[in-house]
Amino acid sequence: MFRTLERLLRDPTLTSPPPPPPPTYNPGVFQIHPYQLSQWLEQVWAFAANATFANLSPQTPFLGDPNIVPALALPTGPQTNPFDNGLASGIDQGGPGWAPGFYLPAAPGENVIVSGNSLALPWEHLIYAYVIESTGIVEIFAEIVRRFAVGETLETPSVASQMWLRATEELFFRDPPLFHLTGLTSLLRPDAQIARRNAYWRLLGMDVPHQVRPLPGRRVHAGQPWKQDVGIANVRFHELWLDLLRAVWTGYENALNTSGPNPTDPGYIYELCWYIQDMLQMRRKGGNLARDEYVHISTMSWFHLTVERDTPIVIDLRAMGTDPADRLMKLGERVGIRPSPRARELFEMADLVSAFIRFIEVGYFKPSTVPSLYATASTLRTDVVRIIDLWEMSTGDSIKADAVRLSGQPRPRDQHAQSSRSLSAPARTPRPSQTHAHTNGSGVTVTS
Amino acid sequence: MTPPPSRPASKPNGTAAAAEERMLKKLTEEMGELVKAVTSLADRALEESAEARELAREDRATIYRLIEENVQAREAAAAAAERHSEEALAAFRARRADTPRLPVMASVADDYDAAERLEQRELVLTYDAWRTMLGRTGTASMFQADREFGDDDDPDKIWILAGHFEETGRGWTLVVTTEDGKVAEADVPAGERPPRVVVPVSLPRVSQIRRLEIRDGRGYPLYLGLGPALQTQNRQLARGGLPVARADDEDR
Repeated sequence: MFRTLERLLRDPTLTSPPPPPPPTYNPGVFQIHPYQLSQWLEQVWAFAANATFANLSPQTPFLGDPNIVPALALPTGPQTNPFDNGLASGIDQGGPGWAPGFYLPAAPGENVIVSGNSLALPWEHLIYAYVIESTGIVEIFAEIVRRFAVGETLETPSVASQMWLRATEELFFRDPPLFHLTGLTSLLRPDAQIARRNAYWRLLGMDVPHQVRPLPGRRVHAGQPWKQDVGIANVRFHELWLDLLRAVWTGYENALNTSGPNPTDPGYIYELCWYIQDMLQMRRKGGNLARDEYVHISTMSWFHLTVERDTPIVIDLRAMGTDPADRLMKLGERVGIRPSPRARELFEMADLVSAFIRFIEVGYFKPSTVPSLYATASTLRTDVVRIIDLWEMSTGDSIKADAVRLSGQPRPRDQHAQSSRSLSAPARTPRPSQTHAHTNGSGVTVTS
Repeated sequence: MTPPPSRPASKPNGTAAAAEERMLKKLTEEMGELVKAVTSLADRALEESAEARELAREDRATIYRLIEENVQAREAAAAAAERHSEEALAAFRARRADTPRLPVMASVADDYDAAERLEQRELVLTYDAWRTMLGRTGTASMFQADREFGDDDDPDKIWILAGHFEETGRGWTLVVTTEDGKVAEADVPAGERPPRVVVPVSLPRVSQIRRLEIRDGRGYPLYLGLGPALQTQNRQLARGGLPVARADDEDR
């Protein structure tokens, strides 16, 4: 969400052309008071109940049950909300028709009257948070904030970095304000890391690839507490997801065939989309995981935004770089934590895979629209092919090789049923090299 | 001793001269005959050469005709063989109804009709707009719209406030789909710049809009509408802090 906010501060209507490289960013998002940011999250959440997001018919509810949004939102009226003026965050996104709201400190010590939100916003899918957290970014920034808070082992922070440090600690390493949407932790689930892993496991059936790093003062967790009392988790998601990517790749490879056999199977691709959609929606019955998803993706987007550009904290720690993974690597070196070696692929993939899985989940793919994934050039096809590349690079899951197989042989589903269920762990099943073959559409089989 | 008496020079003998003359005449006659013979041969050779050229011309035409006939014969034979092959295959398929079919031969996109192609384009457009709403750069496929309710004599209107275009194009159409499935199309005035573009829509009410599209002259979706026009109770929300009403209680 915070990356969206940063874009909105630059381009309130989201209709400006993309800026020429190098991409600029608005540092204002890190200068906003954390209470305003928290309110902005409440505002965006509440606003989602009043908008449609590029609806196609028939579209299933965005979050499992549309009533979950008003059910969990703060009261909005001046007479009913005991906290503030109707959820107005005071963050100026521009746009038409908005009344003044809160005060936004444009510069330290200076307040200006600004207006509020005018555009209903969707948010990323939970898999975005999973992919970003798999880079190790949370552990690195937790240690950075801790070092700045307890001593002077790092550089003296600038005022801009002080604002970032304060907002980060308030928003993500402290219990949120009472009764607010972001308050996921409690006496019953005190650790946000465990809460996130619990959500990943339930919805995606996958674990974050690194160990839980206990925060100072928190007990060390034994085993995998996020899997306790879960009941049903989508443990087949990984297997179906890989099958889907393989089937789409087969379609992409053969999209231009004018002669010879074409193993593309649109019906099978639709079936996989439908299975995944059904699986994800089952975990969202009654609005389950909606709030968790919103809070977790907001958390990850804050850290993602921090390393997306040379932000004040990155500059102060002399971690400037050319891409988020580069900056994260340098930040990790400062505090002795090494991020995932596949961090670059993970950062690139997070956005893409989030939108694609959201589209699958809300049921946009039908038998008639499945060819959009591979047959004709479009942003969608470009993104899906990029996801295939990046997923294979970051996980080691074999996708492209398995997309070509002996005609008449079964799909390699069974071979990968026991495959890894985390991003960076190596695939446990060796590549079945003896059964790999390429027919190249000629019927002549070449065993690799 | 006396020298021998000189002998007088002999006088031309009339017989020898005549013989010489006869010989010359004979030679002349032979030469004439020879010239005639040579001329005759040359004439005949010329005649034969002309005949040969004529024959060669005729032969070339014949060769060309034969080649053409050969090509035609080959084409006819190929067509006949193809027909025969197709008939044989058809007969084979008819006999072997259980023969597995080959997979789709050409691009699978060719198997879809116009309505399904429109669905595919709408999906891609939606995806682009979704990316834009998530704050990504690099997509250019949306516009922001608001609505204005008219009175009894004045139709409802859609205002195009901003978009990924500088001005509206020729032949553009605004397609409004409401939650209850009603669809209205209205021509978008060409050459207008947002936020001054207003499109009257011939629907009883443009509340509860489910989807808003701009399509080009061929009916292809170009831009997806977002913003206040697709939000219920947007005016109340726009003022900030007012209670959120149910969608059914949209302002009337």
